[in-house]
This record gives sequence, structure tokens and C-alpha cells, in this order.
Amino acid sequence: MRFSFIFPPLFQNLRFQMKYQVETQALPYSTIILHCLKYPSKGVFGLLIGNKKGDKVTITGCVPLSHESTPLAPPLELATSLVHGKFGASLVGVYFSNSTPSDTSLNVYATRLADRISNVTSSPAVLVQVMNERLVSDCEQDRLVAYEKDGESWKEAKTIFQGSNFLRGLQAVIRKKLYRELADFENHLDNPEFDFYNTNLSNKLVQVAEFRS
Amino acid sequence: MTDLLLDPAIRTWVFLPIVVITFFIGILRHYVSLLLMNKKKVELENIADGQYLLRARLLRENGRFLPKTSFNARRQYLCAEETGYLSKAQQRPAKGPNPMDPSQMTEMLKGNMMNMIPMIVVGGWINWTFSGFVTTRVPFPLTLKFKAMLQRGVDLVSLDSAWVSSASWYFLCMFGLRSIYTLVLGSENAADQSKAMEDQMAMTGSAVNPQADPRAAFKGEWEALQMTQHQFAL
Amino acid sequence: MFSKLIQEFFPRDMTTETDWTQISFEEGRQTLKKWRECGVRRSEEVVEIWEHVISRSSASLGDERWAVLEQVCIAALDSARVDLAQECIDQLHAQFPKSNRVLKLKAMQFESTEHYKNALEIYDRLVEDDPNNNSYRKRRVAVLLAQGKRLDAIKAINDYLKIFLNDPEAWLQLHELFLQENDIAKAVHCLEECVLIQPLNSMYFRRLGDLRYTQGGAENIDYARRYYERALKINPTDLRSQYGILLSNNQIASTTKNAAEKKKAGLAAVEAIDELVNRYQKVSPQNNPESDGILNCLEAMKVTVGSK
Repeated sequence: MRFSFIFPPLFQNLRFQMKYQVETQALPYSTIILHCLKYPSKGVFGLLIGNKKGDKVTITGCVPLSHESTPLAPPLELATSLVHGKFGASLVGVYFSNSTPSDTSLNVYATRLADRISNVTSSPAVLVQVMNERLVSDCEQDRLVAYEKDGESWKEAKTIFQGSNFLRGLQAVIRKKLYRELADFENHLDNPEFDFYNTNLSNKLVQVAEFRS
Repeated sequence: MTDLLLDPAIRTWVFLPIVVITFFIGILRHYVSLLLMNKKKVELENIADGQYLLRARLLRENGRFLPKTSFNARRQYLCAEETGYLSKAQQRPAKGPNPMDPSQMTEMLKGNMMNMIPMIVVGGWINWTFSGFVTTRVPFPLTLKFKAMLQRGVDLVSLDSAWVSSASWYFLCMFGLRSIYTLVLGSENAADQSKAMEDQMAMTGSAVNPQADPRAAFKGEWEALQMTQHQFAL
Repeated sequence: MFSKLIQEFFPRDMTTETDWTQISFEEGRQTLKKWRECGVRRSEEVVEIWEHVISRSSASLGDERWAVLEQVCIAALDSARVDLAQECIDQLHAQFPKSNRVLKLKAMQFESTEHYKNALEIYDRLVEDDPNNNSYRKRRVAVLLAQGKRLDAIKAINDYLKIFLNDPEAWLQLHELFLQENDIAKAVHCLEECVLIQPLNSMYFRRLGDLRYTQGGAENIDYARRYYERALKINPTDLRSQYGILLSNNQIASTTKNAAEKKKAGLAAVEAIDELVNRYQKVSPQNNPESDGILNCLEAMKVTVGSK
């Protein structure tokens, strides 16, 4: 980095080192995909729970929040304070997906929420985007792409993909249409009987897909 | 007080036939109008006019739920001197009803024909065929004023007002069978007289009747809106 | 288009998930009718009900058959079931060969396979043929949305609204687009139009409250609070408005310098929390194992708010 003034601007991006490696465990991975499948015509939003060890971020759970691409402040604030109250510093980031399949831009509301979480937890938050076009059964790539904040903008971070092994478990879950039992925070606001932490559903998922957490 | 005993033959040959005839005439009218009708093609401008008038009324009635700035902005949009929609609409050249216009003539003629002529023709025929019968009795007592309405064709001074003559029975049937038509023909049926009256308030836009002069309506709304005092109700 | 907003009035009873393949014919028929009349977007389930229940004896639907076929066709297009959609269109075409409604379905079929140009051609023809029917214009906007052309869609809806200006569905779609463009002020304007048209709909007030709260600033939070109160008055069981009152009063209590206002807002917030606690106490832990956690959070909030 000492030589940055010698190298032309073209090489400036070499200064950026991808700090984080993001690994999403099977259970939150499936929950995120199920959230997308439950609302195929809309974008979705949610919070990520996990832990950070050095530069590795492991996502161990997620809390689906809303099924619109532009969630407004009140439900977001409420959900964030409830989740932060429950999980504290384990709140590591935000996941989202756009409503149009070909749209891969970063949702402004998602980045804003991630910034807020960084402020609240005093540690940089992670942003995960679901690549809609990869949500097909024969796609072998990772459906999730992670981003981390670099200065003022967001840059792609490295993800550790579990591989096609656990995708088979995911297929079983989708075939059983378990996405119909998922509840996000907005569903909870419509009817408080719905559990937006999806405890019962998570148990079912582990059973059906034989996930090992 | 039943001081009159009607011959059962009246029931068989007058009362029931009138009901049956009225019913079938109504159904016939519905199907004939389906054949002859062409949808009233309302001009887009008329739709827009109707919508703006409705909006001015809604602004007056429900504007109290909006903050002052929003209300004033909308009022300005509608009523401003040069640029407001209502002001501009009032400047348009008058377009009165034009009896020379052939398409409008046919429309008017068709409408009148479908409604009035069958009623008159059939009413007259029934009056002639079933003249002078007393068909039925309304179950509640009535004043003398109702005699003229319920006892057409039967001029008996001493007859109780509750008795209904055959011609009046025909008219009663015509209006009373409305709900039966809805049951049989579905909710959109042309046999229903009152539908013709509700036509102006159709959902496609409460379009202003092109024959009426809309400028008076615009002026009325403009004045009403100018006079409204805004009070934020929440 | 607005299934989310409609679903708020008909929240799914997911505590007992129905297996649509096992219901009776009459139940299926009634469910489809209810969804058809309310315009609910539950396409996958409609297709399931059709395939497993209704299609076996579709002739006994009588005249309702054609409306059901239309509903199933649209649901099939929404669930990428091209085969089923084609079947429905063929049957409808055989029965109504010159119908504009069937032509609209064919255009929607083009849309679903991304042949947008063909779809737009058909819609243009339909609009010319029947300019008073606003659903064809709306489908044109839907094509633009599917292509991701947000700004063009905004312009198209604006043009539409110049004629049919009292259409709450269009204003709602416009407000969603403005939100995606991050223009909250214009979104507020759209929702105010909806309020003018239907002032007894609590959802518009609640949404206005959300938007004003998101805009921020003392004046907007005050408006937000009033809108939430109005929404709660119209619909006393609305949890979102209750939370909204809590949030806005909390915000006012934290930021205002006026002591009387602070006290009033604090009391109102505490009252809102009490209502919420009441509501959550009625939730069964079997359905929602986390309800106790939320109750604890609310009690903690009460302490912080009460001490302001």
C-alpha cells in the first residue's frame, strides 16, 4: 500500500483486500431460499444471525422480515430492536432479493439497513443478495452473493459454498412445500400467532432435509 | 273488511295471466334490447371530465384528512386562474345538445322506443282485454287518494280503496317483478326499469352526459371548492 | 397486483395449513370464488385446487366454469405452468372465439414467455377497440414493470391517471414505484390521493403513517402519529398501527423540548405498550413459542419509555 502513489489508478483496487469470508450454514440458507419461494413475485428482506471469528463470518440463522423491496422504517426498526434485543451482537447482517429476476443491483433499503446495523452493533455488517436467476433446480452455483462495506461503497466478498450435497436436502424441503409454513415479520404483524423466528419450521427443516448444523 | 267475494274464475283468467304476461314481456324486452343495443361509446374527454368533477367533490368532502399544504396544492391544481383544470374547462366552447346529429338521434330514439312503447302498447292491450275486473286486494287499509292509482278502469265510488283493478295490477306487476328478473336473468338485465336511471352512475367513469352542458357543473364545483375552508381533522 | 395489501384483510390462517389436494369439490369451488372476488394472488394453490379437485368434474360448475377457467389460466401463467395455461386458453377460445377477454389472456401468455412486443401489440389493439376498459392499459404498464423499465412505467401510469384519476389501484402501484426510486414525498402524494378516494380504508392511513415516519422530522412524525391514531380508530385490531403509535410517540418524547408534550407522548407510548401486551398475552405459545420473548421486550421498553 506504500506504493499506491507509484501505481496508476487502474491498480488501486488491489489495495482492497476482501476481508470477510462468509459461510452460510444449511439451515439459514434454506430459510432464505424458502422465503424467496414463498413470495415469487416480490423482493424479500431479512436479518442474518451469526458469529464473526477474525475474518470469517458464519451465518447460523436468519429472521425473515418483509416481502416487499422497499420496506419502510417502522417495521424495520421494530424488528431490528426485537432481534437485537434477543441476539445482541450475533446480529451480523441483512439479506435481500430484488423483485425482478434480472435485477442484480444493490437495494438501497438493504444497504441503509446494513449501515444501521453496523452502527447498532458497532461492527461492520454483511450484506447478502439472493441471485434470482440462479434459483433454478439445475443451477450448481451458489445462489447467495455476499457483500461487505469498503469505505462508502459495497464490494463483493468471498463466500464459502457448501456444494451440491446439501442442495439435495433443499430439494426435499421444496417438494414438501414447506415454504408455505414460513412466517416473516410482516406476517407476524398481521397476526401475532405467527412466529417470525420460525422455530417450529426450523425443527421441521432439520428433520426433513437432515441438515447438520 | 271483505264485503266482496271474487269469482275464482277471475283468479284463473285475469290475475294469473296478467302476472305471466308481464313476466314474459319483461324477458322478451331484455333479449330484444341485447340484440339492438350497442355499447355507449363514451368519449375519453367526457370520462376525464366526469372524473375531475368527482375528484373535486372528493377533495371537498375528504380533504380534511390531508395536511393544509397538500390540500392547497390540490385545490390550486384544480382551481388556479389560468392553469387549473376546472378553470380551463369552463373556458371551453359550449357544446349543447345537437338534435341534428344523426347518431345521437338514433340513440335517443332507441332508448325511448325500448322503454316507453312496450309499456304503452301492452298496457293498452291489457286494459282492453281485461277491462273492468277487480283482481285482488291489498292486505292493508288505504285512504281514498289511492283509489285513482289502484282502480284504473273501474269507476266505482263506493268500492274500498284496497281493491286493485286489472290495469293497476299490471302496473304493480311490472315494477314488482324487478327482483324476480334479477334472479332469473342475472344482475345485468335490461328489463329492469330502474337500471336505466342508474346508468349515469356507471363505474367506467360517471361520464358526463354529452348532451348536458358540463360547464355549469364545472362552475359549480369551482365555486364550492373556492369556498371550502380547510381544517385538518386528525 | 396488490395481493399483499389485500392479504392484510384476509390473513392466511397458517396455524393450520390446509392441504388443498384433499378438500371437497364444494369447498374448492367456494374457495376459488372467494379468491376470485377478492383478487387474491395465491396462484400455486389455485392450480393445485384445480388439478386435484375441480377439474375432475368441471362440467358441474355450470356457468361458473368460464370464470374459473380464466382464474386458473392466470394462476397457471403466474406459476409458470405453460401447459395448463394453454389448455385453459384453448377451452375458452373454443367457447368464445371473438372475445376480447380471451385475447387479453393470450397477451398475458406472451408476457409470461417474455415476448413483450407481441403482448404490447395485442394490448394496443385492445385499447383501440375498447378505450373505456382500463384493464388493458394496466396490463401495458405491467409489461413495462416486467421489463424493469421503472421510469417508463411511472410515465405510463401518470398518463393513465390523467384520465382515470380516481383509481386507487393505480395510485398504489405508482407509490410503490416511487418508493423504489427512493422518492418518499411523491409516494406520500399518491397515498393521499387514495385517502381522498376511500377515506374509510384504514390501510391507507396506516401506510401514510409509515411513510411520514420514514421521512422523519418533527412535523412528519407528528403527522404519522395522527394517521396511526386514525387508522387504529377505523380498525382497532390493527397491530401495525398500535406499534406505529408506540414508535411515533417514543420518537416525539425523545426529541421534543416541550415538557408537556414530552409527558403526553410518554403516556401515550406507555398506553400503546399496555395494549400490545394485552394482545400478546392472548397468543398461544404453541403457535408462537417466541411470544414470551416479545412480551419481555415490551415490558423492558415500557420501563425505558416511562422513565423519559
